[in-house]
Amino acid sequence: MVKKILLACSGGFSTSMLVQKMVEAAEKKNMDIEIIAVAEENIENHLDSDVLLLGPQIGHKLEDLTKELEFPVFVINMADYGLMNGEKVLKETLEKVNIGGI
Amino acid sequence: MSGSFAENLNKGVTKFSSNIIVKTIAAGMARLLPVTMIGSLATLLISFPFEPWTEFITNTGLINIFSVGSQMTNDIISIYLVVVLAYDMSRLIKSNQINSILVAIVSFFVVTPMTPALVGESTINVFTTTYLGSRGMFVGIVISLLATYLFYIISEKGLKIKMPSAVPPAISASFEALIPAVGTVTLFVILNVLVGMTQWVDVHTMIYALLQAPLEGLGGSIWTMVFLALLGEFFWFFGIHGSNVTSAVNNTLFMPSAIENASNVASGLPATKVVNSYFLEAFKGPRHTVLSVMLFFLPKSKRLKAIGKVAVVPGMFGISEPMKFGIPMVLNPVLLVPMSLAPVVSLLIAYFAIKIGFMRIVSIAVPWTMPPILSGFLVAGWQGAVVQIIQMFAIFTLYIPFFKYLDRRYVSEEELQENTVKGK
Repeated sequence: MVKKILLACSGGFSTSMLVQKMVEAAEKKNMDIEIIAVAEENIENHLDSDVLLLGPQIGHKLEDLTKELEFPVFVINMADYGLMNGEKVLKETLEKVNIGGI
Repeated sequence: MSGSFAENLNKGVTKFSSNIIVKTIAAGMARLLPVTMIGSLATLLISFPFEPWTEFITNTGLINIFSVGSQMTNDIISIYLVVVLAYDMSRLIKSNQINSILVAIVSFFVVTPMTPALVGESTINVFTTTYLGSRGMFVGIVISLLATYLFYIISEKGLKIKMPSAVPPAISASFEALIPAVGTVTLFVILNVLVGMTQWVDVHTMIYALLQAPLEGLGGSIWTMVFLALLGEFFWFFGIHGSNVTSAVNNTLFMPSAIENASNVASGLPATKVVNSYFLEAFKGPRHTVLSVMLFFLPKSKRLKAIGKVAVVPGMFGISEPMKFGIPMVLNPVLLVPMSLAPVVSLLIAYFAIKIGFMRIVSIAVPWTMPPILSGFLVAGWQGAVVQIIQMFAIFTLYIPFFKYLDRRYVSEEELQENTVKGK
């Protein structure tokens, strides 16, 4: 079960907009998931997360972070990020993580 | 656009930004923000662009109280820099953080000269802000990274002291734990003695001569700044956060000048460095604000209208991601020209305004999320606000033809889709 989704970008600003939308989507479906956005240098203060989503603009850090972290890391799709489609990002993330057998 | 080029670029950026030194400087400098903000607030209060206020604080002596805020931040910035860099580097190489920080500070002070000063009757040795302020930043970077790394290497190598077998293991372990710290600091003591025998006399002078002086030429040039801004937009075109990649270079080149200006202004001296990181933050141009407002009011296409609704409020605060990925600007050749030229033109307008004496040299940091016009006013009075308004017109002029072309293209695409759906 996914309990905590972490999002990160350069300063945590634009990902925080997406988080707002994702939280709304989760509430609609009565899901009890913590979703937060941080600046990339503060990722390590949230090692209790189940999954990390990177803003596409820092997608080049995927390799590095995948090596470093114990939970899966994904890069958010550009088009969904542009339109801040929280519902779709949440749905797809949960699908991906659950396929991963967590 | 070949996919392989974009892939190679991404690989190159990954390589660059995962370099331990780049990562450390980028993260560490970002962590200095609370300190530099306190310094900036002090400088802002002292130099607030309103005459009755400046008279009031001078007459009441409040100015001396405010200047403490700058003295204890800007004037000794190198100490804080040593702390954050040692913290971030040890974090990244998984070394002991608090020990790294302590060893780095000790090492920095070991190589910092003391100056004899006459206080009353007696002569005492003091650290002067000459070495601890903006001029010491390069030394701070070099020593902090070096000390943290040496500490790590000596710890990893696990240098052992051969104790007689009669000594209990716990006791020999307590000695071993001290070796990395003592070893690292000893190396800096030796370095300090060796440099003392050369023409440079001290490590600060040596690093200044070898590193900082050549780099100051680069860091003092508007063209270096324009080039880096252009490079940042080029990265953005491929969907890579441009300033995130260039921030380590930007801060190394332009931050010491910003701190120097802030120190000067707070202590009643003139600011002299036109090109600095505070100038960059305030006058890179209100590109995102202008474009998001255009998106909100002007488009005829449904697609751009939808983006405008999402983008306009964050755009006010300089957040561009919804536009970058929504319009999109990423991999969109139509918007490449205005996107690349907007920061270039903006920076040159602001630079010109300072050069002709219209606007003052920037010595105050405002968070980059501060809306334009207000940010210009805070850092450079009404002239700063005027410069940002001129930048807005310039950016609008740059974008409008390309924007209209894109909008028309989207409208015709949408019409085509509708007609297909209707089966016409």
